[in-house]
Amino acid sequence: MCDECGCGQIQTSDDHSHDHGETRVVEIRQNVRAANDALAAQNRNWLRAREVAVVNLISSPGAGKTTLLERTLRELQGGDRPLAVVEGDQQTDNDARRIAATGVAVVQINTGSACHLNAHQVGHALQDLDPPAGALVFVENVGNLICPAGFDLGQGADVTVLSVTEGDDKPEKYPEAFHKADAMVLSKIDLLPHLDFDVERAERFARALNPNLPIFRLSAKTGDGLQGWLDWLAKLT
Amino acid sequence: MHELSIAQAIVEVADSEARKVGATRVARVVVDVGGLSGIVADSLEFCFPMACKGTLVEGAELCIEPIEARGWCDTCDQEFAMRDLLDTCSRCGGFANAIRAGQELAVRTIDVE
Repeated sequence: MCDECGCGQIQTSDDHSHDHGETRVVEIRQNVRAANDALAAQNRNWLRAREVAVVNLISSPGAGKTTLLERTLRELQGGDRPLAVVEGDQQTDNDARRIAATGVAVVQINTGSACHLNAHQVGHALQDLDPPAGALVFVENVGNLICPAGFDLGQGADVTVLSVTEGDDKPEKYPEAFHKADAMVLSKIDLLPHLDFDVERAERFARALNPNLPIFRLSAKTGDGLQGWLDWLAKLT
Repeated sequence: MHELSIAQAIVEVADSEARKVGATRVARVVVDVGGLSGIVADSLEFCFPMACKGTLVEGAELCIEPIEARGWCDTCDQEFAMRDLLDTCSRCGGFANAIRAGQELAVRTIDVE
């Protein structure tokens, strides 16, 4: 009997479908994200074979991802690890031009109407970048604290950036991005004296969602707190 | 509004599965949506007809089956219902140590003609 709809019909075909009057019910049980997840797994295997580490940066628009990236790249340049960047924005190549000015290889993805990157786009961008073995690649996702958290790209680590110019209740309001993060950056801390941002509260809720979350309080502008972040990145493989 | 990408993915699954069984039209798509899947049912319903255009799924009814999210508490050795990721154990008030259900997002069945 069909336990799906309880209609009592005997299933006779392998495809699990049966007549249901004019229509018949076909059982599928397929994860909707399966197609993206399969491409993400492909990216992950490709990256692993090359020993390339990928960090996916997620934040609201204006949290300072690109500024953090510019400073991070400048600090890491000249080291023994090759660097590269994939930029994601709905429109323009403004961010790619800022990254290119640091001398680091960059590919810009414009998502058009889409509010997040997907594994297909990132797979092509990685092939275009062709990062050498041992490289560290940053993916700057579309500025959006909700949607990018739901789409695997094949990255090794997710970093959620929260700036102190936003509300300190962001982890409560947008839990998914903090729940799945491997690290959190609290950015623009040089502005704290001018704001009512409660660092303790933001971090308490981020850790309620993700108990062992490493949190780096830093200012990409002054360089305060940057070393802990750079040390964490150095350990990524 | 990542529900548009999700609606497109649902339609791709439904359309390709319908073709596999030689159907000419999909009348209904039943989707399991977990309480912590990050999907807003209203937005998904809004995007679905747009995503269906030009496929076998055009005109189909979308039926969303909500799945209750369940957290696990290591301290109390029990499951508890969750509506969001910050909901706490009904006994000790601690945060969930693991998510046991609620992240589902799957096409369960399609009705085809």
